[in-house]
Amino acid sequence: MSQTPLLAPTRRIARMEPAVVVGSAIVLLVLAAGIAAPWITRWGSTQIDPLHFLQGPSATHWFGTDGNGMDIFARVLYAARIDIGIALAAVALSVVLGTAIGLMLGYAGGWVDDIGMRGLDIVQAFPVFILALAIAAILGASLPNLILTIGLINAPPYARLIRAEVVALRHRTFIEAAECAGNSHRSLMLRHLLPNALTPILVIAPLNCGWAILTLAGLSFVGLGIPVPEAEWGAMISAGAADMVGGRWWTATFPGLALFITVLGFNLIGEGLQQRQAKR
Amino acid sequence: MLVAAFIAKRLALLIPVLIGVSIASFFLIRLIPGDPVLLIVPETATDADIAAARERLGLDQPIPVQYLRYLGGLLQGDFGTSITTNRPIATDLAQRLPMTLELITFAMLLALAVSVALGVYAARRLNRLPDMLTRIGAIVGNSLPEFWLGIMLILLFYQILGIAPAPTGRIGSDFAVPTVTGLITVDTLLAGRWDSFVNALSHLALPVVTLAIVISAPMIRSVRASAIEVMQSDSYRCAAAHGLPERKLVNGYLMRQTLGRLPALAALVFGNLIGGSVLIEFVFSWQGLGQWALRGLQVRDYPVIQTFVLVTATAYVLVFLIADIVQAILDPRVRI
Repeated sequence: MSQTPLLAPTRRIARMEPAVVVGSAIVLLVLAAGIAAPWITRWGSTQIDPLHFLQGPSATHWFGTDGNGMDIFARVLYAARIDIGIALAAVALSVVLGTAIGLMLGYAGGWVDDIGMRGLDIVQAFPVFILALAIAAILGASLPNLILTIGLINAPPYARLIRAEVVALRHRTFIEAAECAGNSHRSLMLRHLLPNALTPILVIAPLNCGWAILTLAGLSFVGLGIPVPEAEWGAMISAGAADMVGGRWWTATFPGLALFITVLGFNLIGEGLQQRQAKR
Repeated sequence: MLVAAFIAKRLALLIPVLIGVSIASFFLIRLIPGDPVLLIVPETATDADIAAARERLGLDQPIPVQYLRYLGGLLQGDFGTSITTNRPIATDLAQRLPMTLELITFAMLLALAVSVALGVYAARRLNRLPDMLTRIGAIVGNSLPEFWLGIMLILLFYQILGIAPAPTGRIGSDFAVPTVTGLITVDTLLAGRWDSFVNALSHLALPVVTLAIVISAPMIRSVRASAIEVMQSDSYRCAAAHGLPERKLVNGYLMRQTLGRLPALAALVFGNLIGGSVLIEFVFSWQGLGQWALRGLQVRDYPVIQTFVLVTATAYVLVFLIADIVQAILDPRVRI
């Protein structure tokens, strides 16, 4: 192996699925644009230009302005922070919560498992979006509450996946050997079962980020997400939907494009990871 | 096992889940801040008026008592009365369920046709241009926010091209027909109004296409994956090696085996659609089940939300039951 260390990262990228590379590039670009927004545009996310209400795209306002005279381009950029931030945090919460529940149910087995699984059945029998609407309404619209809402409703699938893996691993020889060697329950679960059960959920997590952004945008679209003046893609589409009738297409089109491209990025990463796993 | 016994057993398993769902939804929606009674009494109402309204609605009782009353009503087929409109829930349900069912059934049929055609086509040209395009199309479809797609289609076909009707409801006011089944396409035909039928179809077109684009994506991927698996199986390769004509290979071997796997996925998609058409109904002012539930949630109309959750959860489980039976008919190896 005469690999120069300098070239190693490039080779690793070349060996990666093209979908993962393209997807990661899209997500990183959108995120970078969101973070660098203050340097890219001179308009703030809620700054009002009193002279230009509902103006089409121009040199001053690249994506035009909305009914409040706010710059759409600036708002689309700033919204990336909120949308991607909430999605990542919510999926992280789902993974942690789902993993903890799945690990415990799968490890405990017996009646604990039975009751836990029936509980998951009940939660999953709810229509997902209505459940999200109800929980968002209970908690009230704020950034941490939206993370909690989306994280909570998405935890059951992870719990199921981890539980299935743990049940399959539970009676394998290496786990029984670890048990005989006197490992505690805690050590068995965290050091021996968990690392071996994690792979499938890591593939699903990026796909879920796309889904989480769509859910957040959907909640905002019907008015139960991010409160209005704040820049968020779903809320901007919702506000722009009414402008459409007068032929003012720009207020809803641009935030929707940003939303679509970002979700596409996450889905490409997920697709690529799935392909790679299928090849193994 | 006999089919009837199988169905009975599956229906019996449904009961604890539905009781769980009804309890969970009952308590969950009462956690939402906001008092429905304050929304229905006039602004000049005194405390005594409010208390009287609360008592009339039975909302003064402890929540467990309220639940048992509700459950008792359910067992007698009584879904209760809407708090805000005072209409029987059963009437609203009978009116709105067909609207949503019609919308999602058309979307489902379109999506099934598209995904079977594209999925099999892509699999037969594996890793070539048509396959690549299909895969990219599926990822794109999977990434589109349905409410935005709906708005964009309205912009293009109503606002710019002017060939679609305004996105407000199921039929133009000049074309209204008496309600018989609640399914607008059926009712217009029953009334013998061909012009109304065409008008109803034109109203259906955009929401159906929007939904179909979004739900086709996972189905195309699944059909393509199954078709690839079938084409790599020993039986198919043997048949191909024997020089069977292309037509026979595709219709007799490929399609038959590929379609055998479709019911489970179709059930999942359809089951999700029953509770998942909220945003599309909102965009197109469809006034179906989803919009009913959304409004119920906004005005804290407890019986409306309870019924919606119960109906969608039941439908979800029933759809899976039907899928299992269809699967058993299509594939004799599956015994139920």
